[in-house]
Amino acid sequence: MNCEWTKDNLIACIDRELDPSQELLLKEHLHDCSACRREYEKIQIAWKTLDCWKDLAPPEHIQKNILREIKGGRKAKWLYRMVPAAAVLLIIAGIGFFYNSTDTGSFRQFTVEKENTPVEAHTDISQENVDDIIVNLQLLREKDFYDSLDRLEKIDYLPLVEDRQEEDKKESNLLEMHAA
Amino acid sequence: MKLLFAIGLTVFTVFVHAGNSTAEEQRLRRNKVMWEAMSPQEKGRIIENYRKWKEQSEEKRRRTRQNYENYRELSPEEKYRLKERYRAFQGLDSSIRERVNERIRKVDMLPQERKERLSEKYRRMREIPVVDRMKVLEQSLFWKSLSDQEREIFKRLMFPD
Repeated sequence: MNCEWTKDNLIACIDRELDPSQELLLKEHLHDCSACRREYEKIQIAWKTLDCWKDLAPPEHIQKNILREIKGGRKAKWLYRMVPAAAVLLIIAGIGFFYNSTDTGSFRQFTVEKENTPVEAHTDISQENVDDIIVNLQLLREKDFYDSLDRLEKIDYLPLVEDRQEEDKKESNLLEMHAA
Repeated sequence: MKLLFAIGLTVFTVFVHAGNSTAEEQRLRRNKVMWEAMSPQEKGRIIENYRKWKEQSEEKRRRTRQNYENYRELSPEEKYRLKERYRAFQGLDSSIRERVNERIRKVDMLPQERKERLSEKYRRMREIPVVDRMKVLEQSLFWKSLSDQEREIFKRLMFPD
């Protein structure tokens, strides 16, 4: 606790705005420091003098003017707060529109965009075919694989087919024996 | 202020989701990006595939598309197995490949009702472990009818994983 802090907080102490612990420390300092104590007494006297003054109401027109200013100020403050909010909204909406029109647009948008895509220079393929390629890209990338897929799956059936033929043979043998 | 942010967020959500695309549109966009990023060689290869595809009959194209759709439905393990099988098949000599094709044609020639029975039997077979399946295969007449070389080939094709 030093004199500087004490002097800064003397008014706060008189106004009872300090924490109880701070107030106690300040009063301990005043007890030890005569300079600060004198300062404190001066302020206290001055403060008490203020109590002698009567509370006078301001003239009505001044009161109205002040209230109007306050209300206007509030309005301005509200508008002032609205500006960043509106800016944020505008940015969000802008991003939304931009994103919507470029990345997540409809298929119609997609096809319109595609019209601007240059047809590959190294081929004589038309834009219509390029569109068709894009639609079937996965399939066309591995066309041979997808072409042969159903045949490849049948390889698993081969041992079962032979067995079935054998079963049929056995069945027909049995029938023949039965007939005989 | 919080209210304004909530409104902003709602407006943003509405803007984004109102025009939000379907999975199909997303797939098309992805394809477009992929296509644009491809090298001229890769594009040339795909264009060549496209031309071949267009020259195919409607029925063949339908079957390829069906294969493609079926493949997309498979589990990752099944997809891997089929890719490996395809690689193994492509790696075969053309004469051996023809022999395999000949065997496959036998399945093609079966009546529909028997094909369905086969498919059912195969589904049951898939549920047993690979080691046991291999034993079943080794006991089959089909296996016994193969030469050592063919056995090696079919083993690679049937159990690529």
